[in-house]
Amino acid sequence: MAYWYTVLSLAGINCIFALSAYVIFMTGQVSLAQAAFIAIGAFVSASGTVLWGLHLAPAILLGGLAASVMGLAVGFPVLRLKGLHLTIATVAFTEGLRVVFHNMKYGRPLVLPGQEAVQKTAWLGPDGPLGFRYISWVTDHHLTTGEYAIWIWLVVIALLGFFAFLERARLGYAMRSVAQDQAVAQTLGMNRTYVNVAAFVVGAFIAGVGGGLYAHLLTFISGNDFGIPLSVIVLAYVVIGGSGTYWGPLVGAFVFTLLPELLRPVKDYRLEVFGLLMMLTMLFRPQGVITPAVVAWLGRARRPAALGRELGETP
Amino acid sequence: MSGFVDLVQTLLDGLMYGASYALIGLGFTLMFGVMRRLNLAYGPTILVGVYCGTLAATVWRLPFLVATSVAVLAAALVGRLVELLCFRALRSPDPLTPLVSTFGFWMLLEELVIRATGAQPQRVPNPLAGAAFELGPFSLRGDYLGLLVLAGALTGLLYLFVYRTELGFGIRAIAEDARAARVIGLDVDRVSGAVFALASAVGGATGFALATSVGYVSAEFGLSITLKGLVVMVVGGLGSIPGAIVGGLLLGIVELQAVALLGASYRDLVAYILLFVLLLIRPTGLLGEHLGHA
Repeated sequence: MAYWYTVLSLAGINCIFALSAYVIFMTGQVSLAQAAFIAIGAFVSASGTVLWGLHLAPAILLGGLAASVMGLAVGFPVLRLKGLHLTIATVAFTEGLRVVFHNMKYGRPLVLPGQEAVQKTAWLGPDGPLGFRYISWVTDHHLTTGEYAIWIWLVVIALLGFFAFLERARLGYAMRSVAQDQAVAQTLGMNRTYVNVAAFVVGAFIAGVGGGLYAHLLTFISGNDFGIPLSVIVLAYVVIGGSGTYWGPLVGAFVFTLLPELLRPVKDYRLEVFGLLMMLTMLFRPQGVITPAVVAWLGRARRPAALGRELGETP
Repeated sequence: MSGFVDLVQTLLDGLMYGASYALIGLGFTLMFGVMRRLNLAYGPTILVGVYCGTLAATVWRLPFLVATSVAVLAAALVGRLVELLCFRALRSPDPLTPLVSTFGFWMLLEELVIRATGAQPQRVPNPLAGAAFELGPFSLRGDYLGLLVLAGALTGLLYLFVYRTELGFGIRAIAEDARAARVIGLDVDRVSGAVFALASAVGGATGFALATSVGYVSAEFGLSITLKGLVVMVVGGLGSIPGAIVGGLLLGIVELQAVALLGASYRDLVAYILLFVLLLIRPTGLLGEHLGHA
């Protein structure tokens, strides 16, 4: 059972990652910086619980904040660029940061009573290419994998509440209109830079929180985990699931984490199946699996009233 | 004095090594110029070519030049497949669609190579290992010199091809304005198929030469090639052929200087900082003229 709890936890974390990419995607920007923000959240929150003796919750918030500060610092210069140039700048940022995390070393040796000999090998904190090991807050505090999964999914539900609100809030509309046409949005009095940077910072925060949860689930992280492939996979959850509503990234991340586990016979070919499914989805349903029309249709089937009009912008 | 000799030596090494980056960047530039879309699967395509070449050289013990041809052919074939499955078959104008599907293809290719090799790095024989050419106080490594000669020859051929042949004319016309090219009766699908096969073939040759110089090939080779190619293309200027050459040489010089001054672990960091800063101060790249198409 513990195995399935871990899979569920991973699915929840992937949903958080996908939603973090979705915020930025809402403004029409294609950023591949999510892996960098995930890495910041992971390393900062792990440092918080392992080295600074923090409780898990503030440590993870701290990780999110650190990621959003970085998002603010990088967002301003990067978001002046457009299209492919913006994407490539975020590639450079992510890969550069990956190299930094891969070579970073701080912390202190782990000394257990009576085991001073272990001192040479055990290191608390990031240890260069060996990675950050012993992130054991969850097991130290006797949280079972099931309980941890519940915590992760509470975060996902909180995020869904936030997105339900954002979809109807001024900022949400501003983000959508900037994505549609930056010039028109600006003539309507929307500050393009403000909207873009706000989305970037919020996305970085969510990614940082997800990174913190991820680090404490795996108990071991290494700089090389957080490169461009992670960024692209997270973006792929959004594109495959459907980028028109927040249900798309959720479904994309959830299905693509669980599907390989359910298909036992092809489990060894997990990544091949994943890659193939990505290609097939783009071939046959490039707008993603869940579109606003699907959401509206589901809503209408449930409640025949005028809900569809509110949710649905038929493509 | 010896500091100066070292500096120039590293500069020469960087120039020779960078010649191969220039070629990878050229392949990227050709495909991007025609498609205006990114092909993330370029690196893994080359990886498959290099792996097939290695197989030919080590398992079947074929002569080096035959092995190179195997690498070139395999890469061209896979490149053609990428164009068919991840670009031509897509009927969506969204530039993200090929980004995701080429990434899916990338995972597929990389996993297949990992499965075939058991995730072990494969040794690639180096016929020019240890050979060196002395030039005053400087020594030019034989395999680096080989890279430079190969890159020079292939770049020259590509130049002739793009600027002197009918297909090259088609490539330039499509890069200028794909719709207008269609209107005057150019078979855009045929040209783009040829460009992908050609770029992948050039990549296969370059990748194989790079792998022989490094001495082994592992599955991460694909990722690193894709990233290097992207850096070179953007530093030089999107869609600019001379830009890709300058960008490649520059990247080679910067990387090897970074290794000499800061150590091997920061090799890539310097390149990414260079790219990031350049994008902020000059988004069009070193030799790019216009931004509009991206």
